[in-house]
Amino acid sequence: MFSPSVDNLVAQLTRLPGVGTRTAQRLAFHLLRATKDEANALSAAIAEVKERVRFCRECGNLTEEEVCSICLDARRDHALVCVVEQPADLISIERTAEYRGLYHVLGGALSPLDGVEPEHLRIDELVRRVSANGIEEVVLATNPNMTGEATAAYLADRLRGKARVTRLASGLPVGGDLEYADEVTLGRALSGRREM
Amino acid sequence: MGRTYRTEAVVLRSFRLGEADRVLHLYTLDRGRVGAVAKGIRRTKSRFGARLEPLSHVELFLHQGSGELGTITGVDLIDSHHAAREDPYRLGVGLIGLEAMLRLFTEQEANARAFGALTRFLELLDGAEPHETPPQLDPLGLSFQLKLLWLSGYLPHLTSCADCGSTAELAGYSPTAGGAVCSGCSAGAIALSQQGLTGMDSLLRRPLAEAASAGLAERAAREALRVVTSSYEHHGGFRLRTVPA
Ligand SMILES: [Zn+2]
Ligand SMILES: [Zn+2]
Repeated sequence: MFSPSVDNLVAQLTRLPGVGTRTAQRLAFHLLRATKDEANALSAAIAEVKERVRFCRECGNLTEEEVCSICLDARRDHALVCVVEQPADLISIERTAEYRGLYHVLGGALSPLDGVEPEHLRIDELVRRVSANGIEEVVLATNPNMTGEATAAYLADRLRGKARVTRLASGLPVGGDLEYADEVTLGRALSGRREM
Repeated sequence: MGRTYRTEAVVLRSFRLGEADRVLHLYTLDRGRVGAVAKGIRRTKSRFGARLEPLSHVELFLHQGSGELGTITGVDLIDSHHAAREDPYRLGVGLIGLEAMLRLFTEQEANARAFGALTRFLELLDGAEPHETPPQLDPLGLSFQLKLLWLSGYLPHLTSCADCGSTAELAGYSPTAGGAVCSGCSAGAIALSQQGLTGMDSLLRRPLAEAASAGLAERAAREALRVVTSSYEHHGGFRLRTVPA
């Protein structure tokens, strides 16, 4: 519509999550107005991230070293491992400041319909890690949806007898009103109720 | 600018779209197969909550605009089938059933019998007893798939030789002939035991609710699975990903 290179930039931006054509055009024009240095800084940052960031050898988290800073942190509890689907989930749990153990990033959730089988996730690595490193408790923090629950059930089975396995509680979002809760979530909250 | 309609539906499949949305593949009572977007559903405070997970039987309000995908504007839960979703064995059977539905009923065209079979299958699955054998050999799952084949017009003919018509003892199953074949016509066919033949026949004749009590032996279940699998391959050119090869 504009020029082949602008069209290409818009097309590349549209591939980003949450970016539609309109937003992509706005971003493209912003970059066209920016100085050459500003624009190059962005493209260099993208190139650097792709060059330097890789998966931690131990836990699968993103890192620029062989082993990530969480795995290297001696103040953390190395007998406790929290299993998440994606690095973004790890960041959410870190933000709670409630958890002081290590992590294991699976890289997704089991979904036979989509062709995601156990060998496509970092599951064997988890089982080996639990057996070899004296891990006492594994917290399953996969998503509370069908694929996440199926993954948690599969992992609980694989880890039976190797460590204590726990699952994140599921229930009502804090700060919301009961009247807006859906039946499934409310039902889970009821069956997981606790003594006060 | 499009219109909103209301229909009963079962969620067959769900995958992530963009930052917080999901695309749902639905089988609806009124329009058959429909695709729709559930906006914001992945946010923890979404008003859809957990009502639109696969296997859920719901009543939906769908807005159909000009695009191919509709938008879900409201949902009431009829049955979440969480008992089926939360047990790994039942979930395994359920996913096979959902994939069979996805592959066999791809048209936006109402089929009340297929919808009825699907909702009945899910109701029965909630109470299904987990077996020692893998989910693909479950009698309810096999019965459901044989019935879907029948509703799609691919019913395997099992009472006489599908090739020469002979009612002599049947010995195999030939997808090209469309059913069981006698020993004279069984070149290239899948071998079937008497047990397998009577097992499949009783799964086809009985209602879904009686599949579990049909007394299907493991050998018969394996043969029924082979017949179902080869019917899919022959008529639809597909294999189910939820059934390990
Ligand atoms: Zn690490
Ligand atoms: Zn014959």
